[in-house]
Amino acid sequence: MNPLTLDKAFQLYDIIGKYLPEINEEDDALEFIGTILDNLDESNQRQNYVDAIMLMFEVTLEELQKMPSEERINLFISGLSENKIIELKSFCNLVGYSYG
Amino acid sequence: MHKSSIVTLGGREYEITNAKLRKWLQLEDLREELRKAADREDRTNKIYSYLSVAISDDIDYSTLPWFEVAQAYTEVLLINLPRLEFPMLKSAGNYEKVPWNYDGRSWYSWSHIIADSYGWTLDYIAELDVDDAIGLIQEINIDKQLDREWEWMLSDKSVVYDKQGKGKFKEYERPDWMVDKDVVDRTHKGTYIKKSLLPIGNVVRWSDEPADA
Repeated sequence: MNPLTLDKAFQLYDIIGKYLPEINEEDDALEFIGTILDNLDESNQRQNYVDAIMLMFEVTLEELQKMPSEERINLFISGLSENKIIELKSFCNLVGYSYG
Repeated sequence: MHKSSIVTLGGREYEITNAKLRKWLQLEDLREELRKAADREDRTNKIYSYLSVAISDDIDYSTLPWFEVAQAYTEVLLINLPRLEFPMLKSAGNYEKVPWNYDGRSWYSWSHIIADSYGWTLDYIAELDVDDAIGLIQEINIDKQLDREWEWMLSDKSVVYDKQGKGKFKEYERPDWMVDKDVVDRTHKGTYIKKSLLPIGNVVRWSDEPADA
């Protein structure tokens, strides 16, 4: 997986920005991503979860549907971790970017 | 004052230094445009433009990982912050839109003010240290403001009359960064005592005590 470019990273923020928790200095990336998964689960918006994976890994919906659910979760977690999701939220705050 | 830092972009290291006045104003204009950017694409392009001016326009920022771009942007931003806390920069900045405004006017406006006061050339002004330039602009603005206040004081407009025909001095308005807010607060609101410092329960005064107690 290639890390996202800035334009794509903003796109990712558009998709999952509303599920990101507040940044806590003590949080590590896995805890942070775990909270995102919980928030996505509570919201019942599976489309956003799917869109995020498709964006980060450039896979089609058909390819994603063929994968076991554990693999999809692993992709989601590794994608957000590789793309430094906590730093992305901080940067978006710095430049005044709000999810659309 | 010279400040420098190293950023890594696409596996290559670049040394960045703090900008001199003309370039700094260009960067500040781009930051303002970034603040007003309408959409994702616009905002992304403004960040790339900012880095092109600050580091190099030979880099294809659109192919780099976002966090390298973000790191570089943050470094450039930090290295170009003025060292001193100039009150003029804390102004609310509610500037009116004027018909004679145009993109890139900041440089012409600042250089005009400095050249008018000191007679320096544009090349010399362009290479001024940013803190020196801001400090000088603030002093020029203070001088101009105090001159205006003096002229105001000597004019008829500085006195307003009530219904009884009694005249009262009306101050010439100052920009918000020249107003001592503490003094204004004390004048208009009085002195406040924190609730935690107030006495608790019934207050018994000496005068309330029975005379024979």
